[in-house]
Amino acid sequence: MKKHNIIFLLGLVFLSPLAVVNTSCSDVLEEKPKSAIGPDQLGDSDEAISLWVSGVYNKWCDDMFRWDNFPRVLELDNDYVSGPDWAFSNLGAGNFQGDDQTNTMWTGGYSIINRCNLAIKQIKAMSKCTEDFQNNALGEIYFQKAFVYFMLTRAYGEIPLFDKTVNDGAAYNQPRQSIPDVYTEIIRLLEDAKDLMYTKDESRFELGHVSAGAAAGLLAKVYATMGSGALGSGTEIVVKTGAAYTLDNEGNKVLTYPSSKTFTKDVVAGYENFDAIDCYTKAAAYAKAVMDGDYGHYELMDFDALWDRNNYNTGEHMFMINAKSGDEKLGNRIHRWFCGTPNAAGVIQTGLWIGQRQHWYFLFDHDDYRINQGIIHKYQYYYQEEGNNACYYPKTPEYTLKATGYDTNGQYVQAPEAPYDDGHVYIYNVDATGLAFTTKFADVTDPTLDRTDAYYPMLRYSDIVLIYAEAMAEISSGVSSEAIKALNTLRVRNNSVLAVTSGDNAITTKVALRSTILEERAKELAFEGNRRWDLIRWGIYLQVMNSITGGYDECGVNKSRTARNLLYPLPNSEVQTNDAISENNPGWN
Amino acid sequence: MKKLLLTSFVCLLAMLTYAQNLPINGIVIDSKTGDPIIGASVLIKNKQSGTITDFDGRFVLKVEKYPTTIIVKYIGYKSQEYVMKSGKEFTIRLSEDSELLDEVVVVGYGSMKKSDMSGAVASIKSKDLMTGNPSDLSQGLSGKIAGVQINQNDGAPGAGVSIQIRGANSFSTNTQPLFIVDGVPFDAGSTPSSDANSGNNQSFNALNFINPHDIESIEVLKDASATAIYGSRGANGVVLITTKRGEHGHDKVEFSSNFTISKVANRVHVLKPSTYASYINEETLNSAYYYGTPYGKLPYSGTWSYSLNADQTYNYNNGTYNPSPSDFDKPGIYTDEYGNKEVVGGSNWQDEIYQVGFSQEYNLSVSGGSDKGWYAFSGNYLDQSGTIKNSGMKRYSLRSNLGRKINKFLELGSNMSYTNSDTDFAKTSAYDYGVIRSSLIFPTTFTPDMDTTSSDELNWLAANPAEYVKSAKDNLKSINFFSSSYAQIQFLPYLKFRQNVGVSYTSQRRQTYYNRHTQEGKSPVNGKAGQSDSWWQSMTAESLVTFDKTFDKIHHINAVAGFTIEKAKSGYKSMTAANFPNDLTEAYDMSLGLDPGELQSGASDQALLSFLGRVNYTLKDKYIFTTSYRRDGSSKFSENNKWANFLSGAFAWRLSEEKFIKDLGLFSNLKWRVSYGQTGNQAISDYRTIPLLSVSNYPFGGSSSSGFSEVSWRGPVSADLKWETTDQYNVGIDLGFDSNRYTLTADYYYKKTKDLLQEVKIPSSTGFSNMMVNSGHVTNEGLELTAHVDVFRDTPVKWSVDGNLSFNKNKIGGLEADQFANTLWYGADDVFIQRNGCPIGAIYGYVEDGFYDNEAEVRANPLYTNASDATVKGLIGEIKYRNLDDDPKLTESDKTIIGDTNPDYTYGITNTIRWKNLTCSFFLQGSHGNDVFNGNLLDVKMGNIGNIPEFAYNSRWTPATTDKAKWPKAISGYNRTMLISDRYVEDGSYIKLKNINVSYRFDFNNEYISNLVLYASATNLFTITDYSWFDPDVNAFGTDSSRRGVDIYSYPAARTFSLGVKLGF
Repeated sequence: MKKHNIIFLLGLVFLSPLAVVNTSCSDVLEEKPKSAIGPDQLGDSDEAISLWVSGVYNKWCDDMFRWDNFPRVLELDNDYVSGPDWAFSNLGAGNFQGDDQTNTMWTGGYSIINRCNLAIKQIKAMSKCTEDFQNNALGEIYFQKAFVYFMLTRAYGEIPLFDKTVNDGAAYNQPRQSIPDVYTEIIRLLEDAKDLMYTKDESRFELGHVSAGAAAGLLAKVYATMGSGALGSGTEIVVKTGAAYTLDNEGNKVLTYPSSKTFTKDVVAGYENFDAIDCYTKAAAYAKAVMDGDYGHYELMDFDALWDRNNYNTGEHMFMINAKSGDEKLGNRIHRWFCGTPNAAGVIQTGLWIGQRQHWYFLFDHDDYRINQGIIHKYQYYYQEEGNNACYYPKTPEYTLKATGYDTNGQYVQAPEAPYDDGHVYIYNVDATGLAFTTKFADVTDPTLDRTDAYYPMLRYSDIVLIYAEAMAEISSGVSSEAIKALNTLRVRNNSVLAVTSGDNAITTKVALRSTILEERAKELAFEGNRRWDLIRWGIYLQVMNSITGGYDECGVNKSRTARNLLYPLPNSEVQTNDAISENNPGWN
Repeated sequence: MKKLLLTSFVCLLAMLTYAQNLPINGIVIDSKTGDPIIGASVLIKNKQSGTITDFDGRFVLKVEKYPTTIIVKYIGYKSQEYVMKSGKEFTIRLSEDSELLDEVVVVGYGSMKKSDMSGAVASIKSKDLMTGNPSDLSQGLSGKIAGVQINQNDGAPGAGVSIQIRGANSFSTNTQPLFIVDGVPFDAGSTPSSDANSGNNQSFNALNFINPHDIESIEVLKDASATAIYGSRGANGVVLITTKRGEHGHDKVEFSSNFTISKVANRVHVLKPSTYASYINEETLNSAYYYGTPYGKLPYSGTWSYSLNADQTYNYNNGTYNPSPSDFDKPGIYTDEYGNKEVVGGSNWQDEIYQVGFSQEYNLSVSGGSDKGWYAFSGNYLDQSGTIKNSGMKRYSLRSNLGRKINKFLELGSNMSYTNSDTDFAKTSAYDYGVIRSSLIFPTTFTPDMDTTSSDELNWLAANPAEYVKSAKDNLKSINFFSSSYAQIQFLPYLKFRQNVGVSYTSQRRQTYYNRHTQEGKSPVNGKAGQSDSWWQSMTAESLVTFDKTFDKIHHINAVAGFTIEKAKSGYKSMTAANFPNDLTEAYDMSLGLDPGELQSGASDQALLSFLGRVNYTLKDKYIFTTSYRRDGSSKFSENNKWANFLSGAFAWRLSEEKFIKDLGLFSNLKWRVSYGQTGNQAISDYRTIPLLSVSNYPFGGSSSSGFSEVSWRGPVSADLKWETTDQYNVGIDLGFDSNRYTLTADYYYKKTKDLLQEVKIPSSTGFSNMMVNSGHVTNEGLELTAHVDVFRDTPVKWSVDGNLSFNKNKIGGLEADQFANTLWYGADDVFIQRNGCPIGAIYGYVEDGFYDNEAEVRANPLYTNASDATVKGLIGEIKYRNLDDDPKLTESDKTIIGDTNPDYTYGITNTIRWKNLTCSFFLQGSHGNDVFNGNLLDVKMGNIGNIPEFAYNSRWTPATTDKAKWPKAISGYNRTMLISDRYVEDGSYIKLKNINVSYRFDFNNEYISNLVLYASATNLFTITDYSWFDPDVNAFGTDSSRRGVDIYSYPAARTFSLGVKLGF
């Protein structure tokens, strides 16, 4: 009896956890994430809207700019840019499948589209928020979608479109839509966005966000892109180009001046059915509306102020990718690539890998701020410290005299002038250390950091002004004075020689005006991811690239291109996994 | 009859007994039942004298001195030695010898006589496990069990392993078997990482937490009748580990130690400095000739250059020499006419990073027991340095195993172990700036002491390997506590209840620092530090009722029913920082880093509830029936899919017990088995079925604004995920001849895993690149043979051979379309295809067709018939890819299956030769027909400044050597894209002398020491293979079954030599 009692008691002791467990079976198996939240937990409020909006913008920083793929994928493939051949690597050599950057444009872009679609669904479902705040948020997201589609269609041609996420029922295998359909969608999104968003002048507008003006401006640029792509194949345009250098008797490279060459454009594939004049008319109208302040007040800033970080997101800047200094995810390396990472003493430790070629430098007038203040004229690499050398740029008689004290005859005529009188021996080499490096991204909080807070301009008011000039030039017969006027507003700001229709260097033909405007874009928007896309939309990309005689520029970067280079290759994984896409863009495997 | 025999024994022994002075006496009983053993022989050690026990099990002997060692023997029991210190009566307990009688094997939730087994279970004992001194149990198991494939990830000390039983069932989920230690599932969570060590794929092998010296036996459950009792986690097989416990008898002390030296077994020879320099010059010349790339001077020109004076004239006091290729054959100081000096020299980077590794291991164990309980304590210390400088592992472990019989019906036991390990990783199996990669491709024309961080192009390529091994630091400290305890109540002789409680806790702490001399930490990063921890805590409670009874002497029923609950919690955190004022404090004081990196942390929970039951019915010891059932509920699936049932059934027929077989007089054992069962796989990560957001902030105006976006790496939400289910059929036969002098076990199995939980690639236009789904199926079909032969059994020299051979055929089916495993690394996408009818591990790519040797050959390709002369000229000496379709363009459709990483068969052969106290064994292991994806070759670009292996240089394309060219022409620049092709697929078949072991045992007759074993062993003495890199036994992606057999700068395998000693007291 006693023994049995003990057994019973012990049995009870050991079985009791069983009972506890059994009663709470379903609780035990329920998943309650601790360190993450679900989409429906963000709530229904203005704060929740802000969280979704930030989540969309975030993708640009983390990871498109984070891993240096941006802005390289926008910038490295054009006629005027150059740098060390290893840094330009496959992408810069026209081998778009050799590196991953073109893939990241696709995957990053579609990740934004997906985020946009989820955010749109969540924000639209909200009812306890402020209505215009909600509308503004939707407008911002529509803008983001349109911006990405525009970027993608220029790079890849026909692309899939998503109006909802796959989680909400969109098909996984989306076919590529024709270019007119893609543009229809972009325009629809932007037309909604321009009306939904705040203008930048409204008090509710927050810095760093896009505003109605950006949507209207982008509409102008979109229509101009359609128009230039569709313009007749006989259209001519002049570009300054030619062999990058010649060799002297000792085998040293000697830089050349660019020569003007007239190119005949191709109609861009897929753009054949756009009505060029109609597109340009709309482009002009939207650009004009922006210039007239219909979507908020915009103006060209003083050159000094333009790239001052205090003015980022304001004035001329319509859409910038913002950044945070020293932040692993939200900081970027734009400053390193374009301006070089210095130590505390200002000596370049690494970077300074993307510059403009001498031909670009020679596009400018002597007093243009963009080459006087807009590029770096002296810099010292770490390896030059020991030999007390430093670099000067450019190797023009003027700068050679200032930096070295020598005249064109090799005579020492004066002591180096300030700021070259610091005791260093200034030299110039015809290679990747002798390029026009920009100051556009120089104003960062702490340039010595691995990741800095250079903001990247995705859309700028001066771009819209030039779009206006271009559109007016195309829709007018003869030389449009309205275009010249718009062009000159920029030239005034940049302290360059004004365009004239009579006298010296007069612009007397439509071809000359068109070419001048395109050239002005190369000058004004250099380093901002525009040049390649301008050449592409004008249908002169191959002609211009291959006019660099010998196929290599002064840094040894391969500039020769074939038809496959007109479009970026889709990621192989897309071609393989998407049943609705059977082959890659021509020439890519 | 029995008594008669005994009586005659007594007489015989009595005649031999000498008359001596000091008495010793004792009683010999059965350790299990306590019954006296009659007729056991008691001998004085090293003497001819002795006696046998009487009918009460007692004996009396006279000896010359105290203490005296006696040996007690009885048929069917293990012989025991005892030290008799006085004339007091001493109780000697003999335990049954399981090897001689019927071996008892551990099975899920119980144990069973081997003869009653109906499933396919392989068993390995401590002795066989420890041959070759493995530092962890996976090394000890490797090659020894048919159907169990064990791959080291690479050759690093403490490196991760992947264990696969009977082929891969699944693409995406883990194919590791379930490890059960003393009844409790063993898991340790994952190796923590931080951004500071993100490129390092080295992982820690959780099995390192188990000291192999503590293992008594390992049972591997292979077929579903054995594994179905583990239900949702049994699909990949189950490995049951039983640790040592104290035995009845006197206290036993054992000490062992061994010392090992290790060297890199094989090297890949790269270009020496002078050859490298001429290769680089050749690149420049080729690019000039074929592409018109202009150049001024050759990269290795053999000329002096001078800096400029302020007046733009040359400063001849400041000259630098650019050596010519031949200068590197005469290293030294070069001087010009102005007295400038320049040191010319090169390096063999592999010499800079490798070292002779040394390891020492000590193990001490004390154990004993009585009829009231048992105890065992052990301690282990291992200190192993790797063959790469600054890599190695230290391990301390302590264990106790205690048990007590409180009274007749209650027994308590507890087994606890604590392990502390400390691992220094070298950055290997890394595709960015790893140390192996650097040592192979870094130009040899630099000396180790040069400051190579100063060249951007060099840094773009790799890091100075010598600096790397000196200064990079990546250390992992792990602590594991594991405990398995139970209380058992014997209600009735045939009915018992057992409550198991298991607790496991693992904490891992990783500290990483890359200083200013490394690629990761060079200016402007100025030192990069990371600290990360992870922890894993699991709790298991099992309540089991076991019924075991024989009815009418012919019906034996063993039944178990139970309920289990398992819960696990895990978490991690990591922080990084960069920009340190100096490298002095490394990662110890993170606050010194001016640029704090991302802070990361997370936590998750999982739970599994199960009900289980099994009945084993044996009729007349001949017919064995087993059935089992388990119902599992998992937290990982959504509401409708949480629960699943797993059933199994088996039948075995012991033919050797049948009279008609006995009459043949041929078989000493003959058993035929057949089984079927279902198992599952729920090895997906937590929260996969619910949508989650991750933090996605944006710096509007420079300061962060909080934001959220959907977690994208997981793909779209997969709410309908459910268990992956495997149905397995097994037919087996066990044969024994001539009293088991020859034995053979053969098993054929067929298993089909359906509703595969898999990560499929989806179009990236969806915003995701992958998604988890249940789709498709995989079949594995195979044959396993295990044989044992005592070649010489009854001679002074005994020789036995153990061999195993396994075949497995893996096939995918039911997929809607081809899929691809995840990207291997940047630039190596879509290497592994998943296609119906093909195995998991099929490699996909282009097929090469030699080279364009001349212009005509280029023009013969319709793509280039009308190409420009420049294009055509550039293509000469380039790889020609085979066009497999009608479209002359090279597109996706020209890719095909170019390899298969699955072996046709694998085998292991152990030879053991014994002569008196000398034992010699050697173990050969091999694999045949498997391909390896040699990712290392992707860096042999035949372009730019990366160094290349000698074999590539010697077979490069030149106009003069077109017929034997295997690699394209050398070029500078970035014009070439080498596609994933059959070039990178190599035959990984090998046969390897895995170890040789020689040992000698000295028996002592004194009170201090009973025996001493000295041994020497060598591992990895030779490998016969055609594989071009370090070692074909390589698996960079560890347990990822979809990407097996990849080599990417793996830590090279080592050849080791060790000496050891084992002392028994």
